[in-house]
Amino acid sequence: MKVKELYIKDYHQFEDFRLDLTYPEGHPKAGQPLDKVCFIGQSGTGKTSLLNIMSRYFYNLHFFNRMAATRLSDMRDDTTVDGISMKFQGAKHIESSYIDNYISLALDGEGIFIANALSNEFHRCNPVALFFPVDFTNNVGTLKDVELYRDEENLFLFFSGLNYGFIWQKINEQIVQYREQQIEQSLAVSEVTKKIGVKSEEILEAAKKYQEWEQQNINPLKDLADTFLDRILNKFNLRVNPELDFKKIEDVKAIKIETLDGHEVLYDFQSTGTRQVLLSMLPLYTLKPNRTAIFFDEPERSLYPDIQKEIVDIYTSLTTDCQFFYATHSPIIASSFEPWEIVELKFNPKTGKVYQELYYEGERHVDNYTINPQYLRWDDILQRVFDLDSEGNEKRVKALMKLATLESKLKKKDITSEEKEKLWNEYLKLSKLTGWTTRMTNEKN
Amino acid sequence: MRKINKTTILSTAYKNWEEALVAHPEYDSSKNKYYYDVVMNLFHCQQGLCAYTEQLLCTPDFYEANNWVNGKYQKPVNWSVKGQLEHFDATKKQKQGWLWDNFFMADTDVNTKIKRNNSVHEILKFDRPDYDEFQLLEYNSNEHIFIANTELDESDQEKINEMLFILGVNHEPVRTVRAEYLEMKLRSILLELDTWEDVKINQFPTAFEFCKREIMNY
Repeated sequence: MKVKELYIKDYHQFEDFRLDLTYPEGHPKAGQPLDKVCFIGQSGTGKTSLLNIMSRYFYNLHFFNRMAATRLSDMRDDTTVDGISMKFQGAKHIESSYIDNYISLALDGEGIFIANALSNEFHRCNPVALFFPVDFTNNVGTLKDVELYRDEENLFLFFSGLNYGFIWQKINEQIVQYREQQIEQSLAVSEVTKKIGVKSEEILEAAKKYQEWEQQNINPLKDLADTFLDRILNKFNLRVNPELDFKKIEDVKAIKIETLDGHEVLYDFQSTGTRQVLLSMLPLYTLKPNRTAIFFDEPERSLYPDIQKEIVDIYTSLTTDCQFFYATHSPIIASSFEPWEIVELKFNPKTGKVYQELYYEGERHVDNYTINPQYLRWDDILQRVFDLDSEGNEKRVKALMKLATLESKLKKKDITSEEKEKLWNEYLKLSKLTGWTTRMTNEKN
Repeated sequence: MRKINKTTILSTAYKNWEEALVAHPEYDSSKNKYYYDVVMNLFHCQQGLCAYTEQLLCTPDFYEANNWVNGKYQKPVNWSVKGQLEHFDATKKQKQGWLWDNFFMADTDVNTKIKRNNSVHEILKFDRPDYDEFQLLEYNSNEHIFIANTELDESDQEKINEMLFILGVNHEPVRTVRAEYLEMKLRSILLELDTWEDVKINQFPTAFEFCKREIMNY
């Protein structure tokens, strides 16, 4: 289920606010809901509010759905249950009112299957929505009641209330199961070798069977490490220890992280960036969400730019046909999005209300977009997309003027070679400090 | 930053009032009845450009002479201009707040974020009779930066460079906007899609003229 449109009639800074969340005309997916959306805008414009509004809507929708029917598509045109009113038109347009306001989302697809059709087991259920608030790593291990924000069918998960141990425990169930089977397989090989008078062909056959089993049964920890986590952790000089040794009780309590030269780094000593990566990727790996709405507030938090560059694609690769909603202040995160996937929020100075800055002129068609963050340099994104009105510190302006002056003086014919050398050395030093482009030829000449 | 001729007075009602003043009333843009007369007469003199950065702030239809009747500006219903009325020398704002000689129209960000109440040197007062931008300034066309003419003595260069900084001439986003605007205009000429005579330059004329002189080698 994916959101095609959001409409807010009146809620704080949003008034008669409508977002078209579909691909524009001229796009291969024209008219279909966007796969990912990125909210940007000045602090206070309501990026986080939109994530909250939409995720809470899903929460309300789910409760209604659980009580009322098996599929949204089976519902009548107008239904009101528990204060939530919904309208279903041809395109399954749904309206909901809560917190005394009027907010609606147009949803695409078959609708939501009721929870009873799914297993209650955490790792098997497919959540309708996942929400990673900005501070989700802060509450790790401190929240006693993991279930607090989970409804009984696990279809809606607030990750502010989910702790690391709990997530790891679920992954660990798969690992322990794998380990049990591995021991069973190796015991079978061992039994063959112990037999008196065993032929070498029999030993080879048993070893071959073991190898075949290994090939057919992927070590979940190794898969997690090789496919996802190590790609990022290696940048921190870290990696997952994929060995299933279980020598002490701590070995099963948490994923084992070690330095690239093999020294274990316990959870309490891991950096905030490492935790951010682990705590966002582990649930996605475990749940394997499919057609889920996933909300991330400030995914760049504690991550160095090179990781920010990849993180959106990594999250996407951990899921199947999901719809992501991000709120960010990072130009690097924004560069992972096509222009129609970015929603820039701005204050109307006259009304104080928020509107969407449009990146296209005329008809909403891919050819009419005038900004594409995927084509811009990071500093250009800051200036053109994030509206930063300067390219650097104010002192840079003076340094550039000094360089232009030095360049002008160097071109003069009436200076001595000593003066020229002195100016040149000063010029070289300052040009290195400012990243000045010393072009030898002027194409205009 | 090109020379601005402020001798064309269309807002004669304001000018007569200003010249007759013994003491200036307190400056309050929202209360004075001549505010728009001043603003639009300045735009007429500055041809719609920011006096300092030469960004386009006002289109000709709003500042053409036919907008004045009996020495008063007739504000159209669709009136829409950018920029702020700027007191060049901020120290004169208190006692000579309505002095025509001290007024320019300037980009809002330059006025409020960069120039503010910084003290100024008259050397870069663009309406001075002896002001000549080509004597006082140089333009680095690779990086689109204005600097003082390096032929001048060091003291004057220092004053000019300080003024260029105070007036926001090389600040962002002005420099990038100027660079992009001029590069496209120059390319269109060099690729013979346009000519020096016919190319339409509606902002940054001084920088354009410097580039032209450099390319034409004079």
